[in-house]
Amino acid sequence: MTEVGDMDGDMTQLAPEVPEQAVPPMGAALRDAIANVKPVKMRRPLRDLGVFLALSIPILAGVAVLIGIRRDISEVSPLWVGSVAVIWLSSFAASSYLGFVPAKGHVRPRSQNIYQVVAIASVLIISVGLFATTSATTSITYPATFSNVMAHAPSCSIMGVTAGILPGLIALVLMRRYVPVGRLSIGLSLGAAGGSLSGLVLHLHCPISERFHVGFIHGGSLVLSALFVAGASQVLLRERDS
Amino acid sequence: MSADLSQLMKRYCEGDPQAFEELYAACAPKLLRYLVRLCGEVSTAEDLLQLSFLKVHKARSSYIEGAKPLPWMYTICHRTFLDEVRKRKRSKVVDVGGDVPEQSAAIDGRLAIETEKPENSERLNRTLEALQSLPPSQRQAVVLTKLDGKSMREAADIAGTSIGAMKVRAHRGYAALRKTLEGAKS
Repeated sequence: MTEVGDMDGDMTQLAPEVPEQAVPPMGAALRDAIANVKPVKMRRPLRDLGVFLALSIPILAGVAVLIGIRRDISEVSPLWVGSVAVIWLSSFAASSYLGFVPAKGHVRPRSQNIYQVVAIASVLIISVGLFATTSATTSITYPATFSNVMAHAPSCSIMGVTAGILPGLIALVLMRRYVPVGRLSIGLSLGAAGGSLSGLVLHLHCPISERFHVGFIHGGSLVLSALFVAGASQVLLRERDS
Repeated sequence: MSADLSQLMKRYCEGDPQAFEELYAACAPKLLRYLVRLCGEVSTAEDLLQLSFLKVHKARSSYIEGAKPLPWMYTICHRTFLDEVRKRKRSKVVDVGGDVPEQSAAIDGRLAIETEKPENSERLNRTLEALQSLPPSQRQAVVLTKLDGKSMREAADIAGTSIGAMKVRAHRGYAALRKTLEGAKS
C-alpha cells in the first residue's frame, strides 16, 4: 500500500534502480562520431557581441542617413526625443547582450531574462507611443481612424521590419553553429535588438505624431522583428552535419 | 569536479577523443539516471542518452570555454526527452491500425514502467506510475529536486527557468503526485 505521508521528505529511495557508477556503453553512432572528432572553435560570446554591434550599428546608421531626419525635429521637445531614444537604445543594449552572453559559467542563454526583457521592452515602447507622443506644427497628424492608420502604415512597417530583421539575420548567419537548446530565445533577443535599432531610426525619421501609428507601427517593428528572427533561428541554428 | 569537466570539454573541443571518453564516463551515469527517472524505462533512457551525446558532439562548437558542461548536458537530455515524447504522441495519433493492438506509449506516461518495474515494491511502482502522469515540466522539477537531490538553483539552471518558477513547478508536481497516490490509496 502506498503511504503518501512517507513521501514528505527525501524521495531518493523511490528512484528506479540505476547503479551509481555504471557507465552505459557507447552506441555505434556515437563511437563513429568520436573516432573522427575534429577540433572546433569554441564560442566566444563577447567577441560575437562585438561583431554584432560593429555590423548592426553602422548598417542602421546608414539607413538613418539614407532616409533622413524627421522634418519636425527642431520643433519637438529635445527631452522627449532623447528620452524615447534612450528607451529604444536600452532595449537594443539589453536584448543584444542577453542574446549573446549567457550567465557566467553557463552555455545556454538566459531564456527567462530574455523573455522578460523582450516583453517589457515591447509593452513599454508601444505604451510610450500610445500615451506619450508629442506633436509640433510641422508634424503629420490625422484623425485616428482604422483606415487612416492603415493608410500610413506600409512605409514605416516595411522599413522598420526590414531594417529590424537584417542585423538579427546577419548575426545568426555569422554564428553558423548548431545550438541544441535556447535557439528560440537567442533568435527572439537578436530580433528584438534589431527591431529596437530600427525603431530608433523610425523615431528619428518619421514625423507622424498620431499615437496609434507611433505605438503600433513603430513599436510593432520590434515585435515583428523579434518573432521573425526567432523563427529564422530555428532554421539557421538547427542541427547540421559536423 | 566542475573545473575538471570544463577542462575535459575544452580538450574535447580541441579534438582530443580521449577527453570525450573521460567526459562520457563522468557524466553519462548521472544523465542516464536522470533520463530513467524522467521516462521510466531503462532501454528508452539509454537510447535518449546516446542521442543526447550525439547532440553534444554536434553542438560542441557552441560550448563556451570555462562553462560548466553538466547543466548544459542535462538540458540537452531534457530537450531530447521532450522531442521523443512529442514524436511518440504524434505517432500514436497517426498510427491507428485496426488490426494491430495499440502499444502503450511508455515514455509519455501512464503505462510506461510496466515492462521494467522493480519486482518487490508496490509503493515504488505506484509512485513511479504517478510520476509518469505528471506534465513534463513538473516531472522534471520533481525528478531534479526530489529524486536527484539537486538544489532549487541547480534545478532552475538545468531547466532554464527562475528559482521561483522551479519552486512552483516542484510544489505543483509534488502536490499532484500526492493527490494521485491518495486517490490510488482510497
